[in-house]
Amino acid sequence: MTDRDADFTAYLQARQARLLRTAYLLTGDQHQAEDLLQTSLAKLYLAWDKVRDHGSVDAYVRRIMVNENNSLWRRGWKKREFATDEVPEGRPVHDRYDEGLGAAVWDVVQTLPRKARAVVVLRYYEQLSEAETADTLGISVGTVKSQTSRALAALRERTPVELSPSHRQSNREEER
Amino acid sequence: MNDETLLTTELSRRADAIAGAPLTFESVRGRAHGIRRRRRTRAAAVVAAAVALAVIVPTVLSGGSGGSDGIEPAPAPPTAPGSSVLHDGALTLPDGDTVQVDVDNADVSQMGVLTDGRIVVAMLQPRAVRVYGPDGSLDEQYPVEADVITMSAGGDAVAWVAKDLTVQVLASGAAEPATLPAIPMPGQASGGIDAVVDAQHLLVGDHTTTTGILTPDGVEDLATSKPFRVIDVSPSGDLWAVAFMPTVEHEQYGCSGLYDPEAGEVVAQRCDTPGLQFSPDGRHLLSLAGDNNMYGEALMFDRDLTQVGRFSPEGETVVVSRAGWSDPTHLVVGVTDWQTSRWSLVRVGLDGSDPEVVGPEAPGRNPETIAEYIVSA
Repeated sequence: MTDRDADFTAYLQARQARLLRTAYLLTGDQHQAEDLLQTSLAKLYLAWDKVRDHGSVDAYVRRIMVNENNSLWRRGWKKREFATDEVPEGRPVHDRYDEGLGAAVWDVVQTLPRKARAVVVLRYYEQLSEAETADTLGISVGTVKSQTSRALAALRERTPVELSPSHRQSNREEER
Repeated sequence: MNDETLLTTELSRRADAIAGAPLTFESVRGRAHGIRRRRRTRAAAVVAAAVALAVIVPTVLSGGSGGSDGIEPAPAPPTAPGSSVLHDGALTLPDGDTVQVDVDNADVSQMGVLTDGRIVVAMLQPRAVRVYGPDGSLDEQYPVEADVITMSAGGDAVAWVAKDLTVQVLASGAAEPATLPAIPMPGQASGGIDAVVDAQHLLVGDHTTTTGILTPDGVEDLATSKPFRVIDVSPSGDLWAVAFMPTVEHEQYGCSGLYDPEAGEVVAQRCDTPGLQFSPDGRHLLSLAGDNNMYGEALMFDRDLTQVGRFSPEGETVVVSRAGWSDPTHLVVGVTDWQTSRWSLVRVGLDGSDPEVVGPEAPGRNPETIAEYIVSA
C-alpha cells in the first residue's frame, strides 16, 4: 500500500462513523446514507492529493455529500436502486421520554427541502457556524440565516402545540 | 429547552443510533475507479461528438455530398449532452453532479453548459453574459446587446451579440471568445444568432428570418427553398428545425418544420409545434406551446413530425415552465402551479407517461415572471 493509500485508509477508519451519521441525517435512510458516503469518499479518494494538503478534508467531504444528496437525478436513481421486497431495517427506536416530541421534530426535518435540511444538519448537528455552513454549501450567509429561520418556523408550526418547548415550559411554570 | 437545542438534541439522538457496516479501503477505491471510468467515457463521448460535428457540418453547409465512390462505414450519429438544470443556486448536470452557482434564477434569461464544463449564463440583471468555471466560480462577465445566448447542438460553442454589435463565439477549451463581424442590419438594429453550427459557422438573421451564414470572414447569404427562421440544428447537422412566418390562419405560433439543408427542402411541416428542440441523438423533437412564460404541455415528435408522446401536468392550474432533454429518451420538466406558485421538477419518458418527481414540490415565485427551474439551452 502506498503512503497515499495508507493516509487515506487512516482517515477512512477515523472518520467514517461520524460521516455516516451526517449522511443519515441528510438522507433520512440508512441505505442511502451508506451509498452516499461511499460515493463521497470515492470522490475524496480521487482528489486526495489536492485535498489533504489543504488540511480541510472534513469540509471537503461534507460539501461532496451535500452536493451528491442534492443531485436531482441521483435521487431518482436511488429510488429504483433500493426497491426491495425486504422489510427495511428499523429506524432508531425511541422511548416515550419525550411524549413524541422527538418524533415530531424528526418528521419536520425529514420534510424540509434538501437544501434547508442540509443547513439544519450542518448548523445543529455538525455545529458549524453560519459562515462555515455557507462556505460548505456554496451559498451566502444570508441564505443560511433565512433557511435556518424558515426551518425553525416550520418546527414551531408543525410541532403539536402541547409538545412545543414553549408550551411545556409554561405548563411546568403553572404546575409550580 | 428552546427550538435550537431541541433540534440539536434530536439530530444527535437520531445520528447516534446509526451504526453501519464500516467501508473498506478496497470498496471505496473500487467505486472511485468506477467514477473515473465514467468520467473518461463521458469525456470521450463529448470529444467524439465534437469531432463528428466538425467533419459532418461543413460538408452539409457547402452542399457537397461528402461521399465518394468507395463504400465507407456509416459514422455513428453524434449524441449531444443532455440538459442541465439550474435551481436555487445549484446546477445539476446530466450525470447528477451538482455545481453551486451564485446566481438567482430571477436574473437569468438563459443558461448553457459547454463541453469543457464552463457554465454560460445570459443575465437579465445586469444585462450581460457571465461565464462560470466548471466549479461554479465566476470567470468573466461580458456586456451584451441582448440577454440571449445560442448554444451549438453539441455544446462545444456558444455565441452572443456583444454591446458593440459584434458577434462573440466562445468555444469549448478556448480562454476567450473569438470576435466575428456584426450581423448586417439596417440602421442601429442588431441581428439575431439563430443557430451555432460550430464555432466558425453561425446561422444569423433579423429575428424573423434566417438570412445568412456568419463566419470569421463575414456573412454569406443563405439561400433556402422558402423563408424561415432556424430554431435548432440536429446534433449531426443533417436537419434544421425551423419556424415559418405566422400567417392569418396560424397567427399565434405560426407553423414549424424540418429542413434538410443538403437537399435544400422542407421535409416535414406542422402548425401546432412551436419551439422545436432536437433530442440529444437527433431522433426526436420536443415542442412547447404557451404564453405568459408558461406552457400547457410538452409534445414529443419523431423526425416526420408525427407525435410520439405528450406530457400534460395534472391539475387545472398546473403547467410546464421549462423543459429539455435529459437524455435521448427522457425529458426533464419544470412544473408549476400558477395559482399557488408551487414548483417541482419531473423526469418524463419519451411517450410522456410515468412522470417521476426528481425535485419535490416546494413553494417558489410567480411563474409568469421567473422560472425556478431553468433548463440549459
